[in-house]
Amino acid sequence: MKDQSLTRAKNPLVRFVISNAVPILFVILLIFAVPLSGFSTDYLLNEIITRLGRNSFLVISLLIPVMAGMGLNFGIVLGAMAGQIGLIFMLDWGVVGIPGIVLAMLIGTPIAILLGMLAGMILNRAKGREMVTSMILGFFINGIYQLTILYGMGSVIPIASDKLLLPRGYGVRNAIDLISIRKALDNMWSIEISGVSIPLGVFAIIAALCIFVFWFTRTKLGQDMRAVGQDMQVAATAGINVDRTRTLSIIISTVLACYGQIIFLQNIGTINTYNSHDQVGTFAIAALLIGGASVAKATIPNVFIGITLFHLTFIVAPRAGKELLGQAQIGEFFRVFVSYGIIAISLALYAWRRQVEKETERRQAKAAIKAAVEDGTGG
Amino acid sequence: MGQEADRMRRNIIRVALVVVLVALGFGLYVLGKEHTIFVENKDIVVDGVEYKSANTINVIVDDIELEDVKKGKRKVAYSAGPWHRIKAVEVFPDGTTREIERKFTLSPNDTAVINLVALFEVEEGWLTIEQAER
Amino acid sequence: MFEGIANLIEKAGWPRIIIALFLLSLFVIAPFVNISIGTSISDTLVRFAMNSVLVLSLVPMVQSGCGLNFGMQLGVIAGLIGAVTSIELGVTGLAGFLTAIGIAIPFAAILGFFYGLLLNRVKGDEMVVATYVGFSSVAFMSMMWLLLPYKSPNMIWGYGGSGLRTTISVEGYWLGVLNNFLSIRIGNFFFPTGTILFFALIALLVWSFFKTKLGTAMTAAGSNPVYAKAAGVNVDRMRILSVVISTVIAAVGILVYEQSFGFIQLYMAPLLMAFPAVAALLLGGASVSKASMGNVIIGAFLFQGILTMTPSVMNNLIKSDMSEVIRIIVSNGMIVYALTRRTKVRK
Repeated sequence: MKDQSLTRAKNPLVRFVISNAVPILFVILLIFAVPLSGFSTDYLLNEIITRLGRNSFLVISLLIPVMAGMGLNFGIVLGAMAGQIGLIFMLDWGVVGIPGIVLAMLIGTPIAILLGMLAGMILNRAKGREMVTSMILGFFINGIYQLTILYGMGSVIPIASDKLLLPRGYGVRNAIDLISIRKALDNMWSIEISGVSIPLGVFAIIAALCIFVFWFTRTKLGQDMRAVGQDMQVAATAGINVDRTRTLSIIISTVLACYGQIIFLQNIGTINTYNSHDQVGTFAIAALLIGGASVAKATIPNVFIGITLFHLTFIVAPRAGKELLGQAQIGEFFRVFVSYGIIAISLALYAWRRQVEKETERRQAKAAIKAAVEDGTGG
Repeated sequence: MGQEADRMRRNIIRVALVVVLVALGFGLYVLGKEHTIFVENKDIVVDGVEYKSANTINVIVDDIELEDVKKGKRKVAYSAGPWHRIKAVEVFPDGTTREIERKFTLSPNDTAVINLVALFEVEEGWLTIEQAER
Repeated sequence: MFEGIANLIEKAGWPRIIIALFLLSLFVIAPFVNISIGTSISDTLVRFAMNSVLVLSLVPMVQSGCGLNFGMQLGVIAGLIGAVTSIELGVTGLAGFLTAIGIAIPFAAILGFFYGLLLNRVKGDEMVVATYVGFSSVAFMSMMWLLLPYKSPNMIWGYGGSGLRTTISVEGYWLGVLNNFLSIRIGNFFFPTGTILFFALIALLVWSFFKTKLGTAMTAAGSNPVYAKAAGVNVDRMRILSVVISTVIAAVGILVYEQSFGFIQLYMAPLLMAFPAVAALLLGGASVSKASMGNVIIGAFLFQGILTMTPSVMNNLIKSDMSEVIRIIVSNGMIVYALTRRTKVRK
């Protein structure tokens, strides 16, 4: 979708501010909130670097569907679930460390591909409503996931490890610790600069992913997706299999989310089997949007800026709320409000712009027809 | 004609890819499977000869320091992969020591029990492998 | 004969049939696992009654083309404000209930108006914007509940805390005020006459509204906006009106729910409240662009039936509580199904 908008202002500074309104707003907010919260710069720096390492992969997985015109893929939670299933098997088979992580990814991949195909199929039948549908689909598959994990594992699906199962013999425990792979990726290669520890291994992987995404946009498939994203009908007349391309974008996104969730969990060190994946979609999307992305356009800088700003707000809000209004709880609700609110505003702005565009097109088309008719009768 | 050959080729590539991935999976399993390795400082009979445990032995399995295993005691180390190394240092009452280092291989489902006394005395028989109990 | 059945299946849709059969089988199994049918039916009826108005609230917006009201939380919030203020004022019984409604309605109307304005700017994407507007409003109110100057000791945190408690009991105020009105009790069986009558009253109002000229205009605005505009209908105004009506009914709906449930739930509790209501409506046969009273009644009944029967029957059958998981699968499955149906006339 073309991003024509209020960025037609002549002054480049004004243009910059308008098209980057959201990140700028957050920077201003943080300028006040950070000192108020009382956290030291060292602590914040460390936290942000950790979170960047932990979350970037997941947020990057959102980029490709945006390119293909599918909007914000709330369905990355499907990939997260696939990753968690991979981890459960990895734990059950007793494989540890880096080989364990790779194995979990290997197991999760076919599951993620299948779920991605399902999601793609369903989203193709709901063209124009992809975002709501992917959100509800996420809830639905979550239900199936819970059914499988709570009843299937240990009974129909062979899981033997006592550490994983509930006392009653079937069903996976709520919280599984990942000591066996905890920070395996982080520790693989990490350096310390003046008290801040930087997990280069993870960042190397993220860099590789960025290069992959960059390269992908230049492949034929990538260009096809861009074309489908711009205009489905034009792409179809150009001979592109629109449905297949759209489904592929979702499959890729889901698989990347699978890996992203595994990377996320190996850093945290515990799986909350029933909850860990819950907010994956919301947080990743909120972060991306805070970074300045829109439903139609999302780039790699959006990812990193977004994660930084989002997580800074996340960390700082409760303390700042306490200083300002006397209750830390307010800060916590505030950050939930921010996450949802930013998505609401971005979606509303985008939808508004789209409506304005459609109306302008309609008006222009009417005027063109009128002019043509007049020409015809006049000439 | 040309199309069928293409389809054939694509399917072959797909099958090959799956085979490679499954093989990779196996490789990862073998490389990453964590083993339970028991070390014990107890009396043992090997080939009819009895060896008695006498002194405290300091043990390192791969890069896990088990430190002192006293006479009659058993400790456990968890280590992943097929290839392992154990280094033991026996401390005599008068303060002198003797040490020995041996290598051993484990299959994915093996649990190992190493008798430290036999480790010093015999070439074979210090390592007992149990099939995995789940 | 088979053709007739095939037609029925196609019209009703497979998911609906499967769920109806599922519910039927639960009722059949019930006596065999020691569950009294009488209790089951009355439980279902009570739950149906208490959720009915919330499901009903979705209808105007569907008819006017605004889609499924995932932002129902705005109406719920207005209702909560009414409830909490009514308790603060100390009014009990039916008067308290009516006070709550009286306070809630103006809030709901104002919120609905702005909500409607917003939805008019985002035509075509109403549902997803509504969802997140609904979520953020719940989060926003969560902050407010902590700050608003309510003082009634029944509602605020004990030991000198400030801010409202998470759950506030309405016992002693207007618990069961509708449920118990003219209710019928035969042994284990309880029929909440008052609530059902109340629902019937509101349903009648809505139904007759849609038969009026204004109501028909609203439906026209939803099913074919271009034609409606040509016929002189102010589509935008119809939409705003439908949003206001939906929000007001939702505010009343949450109060009906609370008088039966017994508690006012604040903070993040209303977050996901829109989904079961939407699922129930869809289960009753509605689509994203069309909903009738029949859909509301059938849907709410089926949905609450499943929710009531599943825990009790399943628990006794396989000694485990699957109800939460089943609820998630059924409700969200219905919504996904509805979203993937092709709509005939759109935009």
